[in-house]
Amino acid sequence: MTIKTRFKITVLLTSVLLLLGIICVVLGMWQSHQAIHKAVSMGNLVDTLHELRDIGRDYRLEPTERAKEQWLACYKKIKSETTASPDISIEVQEAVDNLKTVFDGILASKIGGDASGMGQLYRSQQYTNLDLETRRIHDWATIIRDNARGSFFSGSKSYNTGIVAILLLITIISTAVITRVGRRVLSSLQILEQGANSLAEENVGQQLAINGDDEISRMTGAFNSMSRKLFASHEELRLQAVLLENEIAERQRTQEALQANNILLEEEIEERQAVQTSLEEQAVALEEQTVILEAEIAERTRIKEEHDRLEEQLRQSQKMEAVGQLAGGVAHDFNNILTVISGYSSLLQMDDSLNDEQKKRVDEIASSAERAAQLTRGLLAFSRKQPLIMKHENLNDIVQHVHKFLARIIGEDITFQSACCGAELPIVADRGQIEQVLINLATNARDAMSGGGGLTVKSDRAVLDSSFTDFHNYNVSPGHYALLTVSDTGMGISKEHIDHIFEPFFTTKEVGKGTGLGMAIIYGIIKQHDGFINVYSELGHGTTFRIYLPIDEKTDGFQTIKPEPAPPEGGNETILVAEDEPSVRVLVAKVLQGYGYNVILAEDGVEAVEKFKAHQDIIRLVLMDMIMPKKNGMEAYEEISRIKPGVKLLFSSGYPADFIENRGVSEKAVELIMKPVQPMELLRKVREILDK
Amino acid sequence: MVNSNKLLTFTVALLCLVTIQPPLSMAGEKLVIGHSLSVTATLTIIAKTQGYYVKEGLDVELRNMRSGTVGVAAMLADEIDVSESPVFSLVANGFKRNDYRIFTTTAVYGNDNQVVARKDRGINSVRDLKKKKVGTLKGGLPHYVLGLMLTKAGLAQKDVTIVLDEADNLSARLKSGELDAVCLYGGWIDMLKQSMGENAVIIGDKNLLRVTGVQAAKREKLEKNPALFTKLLKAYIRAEEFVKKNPDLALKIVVDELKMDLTQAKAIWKPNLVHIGLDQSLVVDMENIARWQIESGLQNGQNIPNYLNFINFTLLEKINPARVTIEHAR
Repeated sequence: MTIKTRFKITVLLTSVLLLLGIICVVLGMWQSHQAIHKAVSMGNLVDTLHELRDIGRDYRLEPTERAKEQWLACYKKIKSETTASPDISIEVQEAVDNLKTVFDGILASKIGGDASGMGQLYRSQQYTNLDLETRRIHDWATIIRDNARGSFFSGSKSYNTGIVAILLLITIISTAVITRVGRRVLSSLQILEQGANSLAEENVGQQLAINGDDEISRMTGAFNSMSRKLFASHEELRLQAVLLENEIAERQRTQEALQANNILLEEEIEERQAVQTSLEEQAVALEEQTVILEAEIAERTRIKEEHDRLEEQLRQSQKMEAVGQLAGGVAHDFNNILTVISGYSSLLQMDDSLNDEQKKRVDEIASSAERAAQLTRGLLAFSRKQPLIMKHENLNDIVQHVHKFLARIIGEDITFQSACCGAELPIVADRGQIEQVLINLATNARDAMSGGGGLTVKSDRAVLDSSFTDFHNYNVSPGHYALLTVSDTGMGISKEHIDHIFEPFFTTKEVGKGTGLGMAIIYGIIKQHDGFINVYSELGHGTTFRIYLPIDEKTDGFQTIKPEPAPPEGGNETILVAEDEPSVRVLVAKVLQGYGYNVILAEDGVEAVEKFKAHQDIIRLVLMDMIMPKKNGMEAYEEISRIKPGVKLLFSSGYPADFIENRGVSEKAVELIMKPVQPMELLRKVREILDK
Repeated sequence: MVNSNKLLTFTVALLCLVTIQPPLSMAGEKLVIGHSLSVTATLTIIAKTQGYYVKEGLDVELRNMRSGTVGVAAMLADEIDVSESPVFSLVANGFKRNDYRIFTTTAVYGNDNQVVARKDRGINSVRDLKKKKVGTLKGGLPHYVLGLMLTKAGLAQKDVTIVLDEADNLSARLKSGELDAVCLYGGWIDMLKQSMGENAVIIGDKNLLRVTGVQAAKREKLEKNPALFTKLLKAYIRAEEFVKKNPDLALKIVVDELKMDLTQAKAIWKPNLVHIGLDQSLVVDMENIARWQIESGLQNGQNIPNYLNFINFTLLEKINPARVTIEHAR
């Protein structure tokens, strides 16, 4: 019999026994189910009998009609339960019937009641009889119930024992069969092991004894076959080995010859390597010389550029000098001519013989002469050859004085507004020259707003600290200044033009419509007053000029220069700075980073939105220019607000605050800082917004 | 490697150890029980015949007593250890002594006390006893039953002339015609029926009374060796279970043992009335009997004893508290 067959028989036997175990479990469950049903049924009967006994006792204490009816109803229920139940024996059913007889006896004794002591005893005895009978039936039912419960547990226990016994039997049989088969397998395997060990010691060709016809015997037969084949192979290998040894000897001889050639080749390689090393050293030297030459070329290029720039500056200076000399020379004679024209015009104005039309014409001549004189003074001022008539003035007075004149210059299509500072703005100035500045600016504004617009002139007081002047490279001293702001809503100045507007003869106007001297004259006048001017313009939106003139401290009753306020607090928050002007962008970044802030830069509105989207979790404040290419500040802000509502924002703008407010910015309740940006003010403002 | 034959041997030995029960105790403790020749002795007889005494480690000797009263007297005189009797037999002793204790009831049976009357005196029912001479045992259960029967029939004690005497005398006096009727129990009824023939009129009422069978022992013995009586109670509980499971077989065993008439026994014996317990009705029963004895002038004392003091609750409570339903101080 094979091992496989033996295992099959074992499995079959085990399965049969297991099936028997399962049948035992099912029978046990069925028996338990029946027992539970019986126990529940008897439990109910026990409860009802208990109730009947209680009612009987109640009736004994108080024999009311209600108690009687209760007893009879309860009895009826018991009678019904005992009659229907197959578990109730005839004896018990008779006992139940007898209960009714006893109760009827009690009822009868009540009816014909004997009041004597014996009568009372008789009734007491009847009640006792009833109580005892009920109790005995109750006990009987209790025992049946308990037996049913016990049957459940004992049934389960006996079947469990059966199952355990069968499982134990399975284990024993399985163990015996496995042990027997194992021993047979093991002894055969030991013979095989010995054979294999012998084979390992090159005892090829040996044959093992075969005992039986099972798998192990077949394996031993296979081993013997393998041993025979190995013996044949071994002999074959031995012959091959002899041939191989001969071949190895031949190859060794060839190898020795090759080694000799190899030595020669190695010597040649070493020689060539020496040549290569020399060449590499020369290449390094050449590279070094190249670097030196490149540096020299770069230096020479830089020097040339510097030379070109200085030449340009010199040419400009010479040109300005020539212009100045020309203007100065011409102006003198021109002034003389104008003096004549002006003088005679005055005489004619006083001549009463002239009619109105003639007088009007004379007035025009006088007015033109005056303007020509102003122009001349401007030229002289630009060439700094005009002796300025410096007096103590109030800038507010100058603005108010020139208001009507400016209104006339700009015409009716343009709305003109002027606003003066509440306090005096004492300066030392040539009143006429300052008026000339305002006239020139108004004239330019008018030309920039051919289709109408608005012009605003405003005077104010400004305090510039050292940081402002340092960062903006203005060659002015820190202190109090009178600030004159002139804003228009014209076409604006392009970026490529804005750096040249103060150059003489630079104009964007058509030929014949501008001299190109107006802005240069303004520049010269302001410089002569130790002030400075800056311009902020957005193409298509307008232009703002700010003129800073030193406050005359001798006559300033307003205040002296106060010590600079303490530097603002820095921070470590991340701020997104969106500014299209590279120099301003770099400046703002430097200021913020210098005070510890992390700065993310954007060149326009579109990039600002993209960078905010990418870093919205860390950005605490957005600092944005109002006017930017691709998408302006307001549009960018609205998009950012949709991404993250309530984000903190600070706009920067070169326009005056009221100008911005008129465009609805205030309605958005955003913060605004004016250009040119004062670093300390910027830092304070940033901190203030972040701390809100 | 473990030899498979050894493993098999070891396993079989283990199985034997698991399945074989420990040997029963053979050293029995001696106990003498006196029982009446009535079905009230059912549990006593079943426990003996089914070997439950032995299983509990008891060596019990059963002695037949002529009546319950005789058995109680023997127990009180230390002639036997335990008396088995109707509770009636113990009540009267409660007026005189307090050295015995009931430790269980064994059964409740129907009334087998009956009236045997002379037909030639025109007696066919209890009401016909009016103004007749009726004999019974003085202070015995038949005396009590006669009172109840008269009451149930609407007659008072004074309506009849009651003659008190011994059982054998009463039989003779009835047969001679000196008495019109007698109230007796069990075997005496059968004997009179046979001797008087058709002139004997048997008037009975099995539902008139429930006779409670009890077992009692001297207090000193109970308290001295409670383990012994615990074993006895356990044997009775086994017997009770046997009776409940095999009622017909149980009755046959008892009848054969007592040599009784099966039909007569069946009239009063119900398997459900066999019960080991201590129920409140026991005390009520004893008090009723005591009250009757006082009213009948059989006892001089006017106070009913507190029969709770005559019951040992502890033994049965320790085995199964549910079997004790008498309200008492624990």
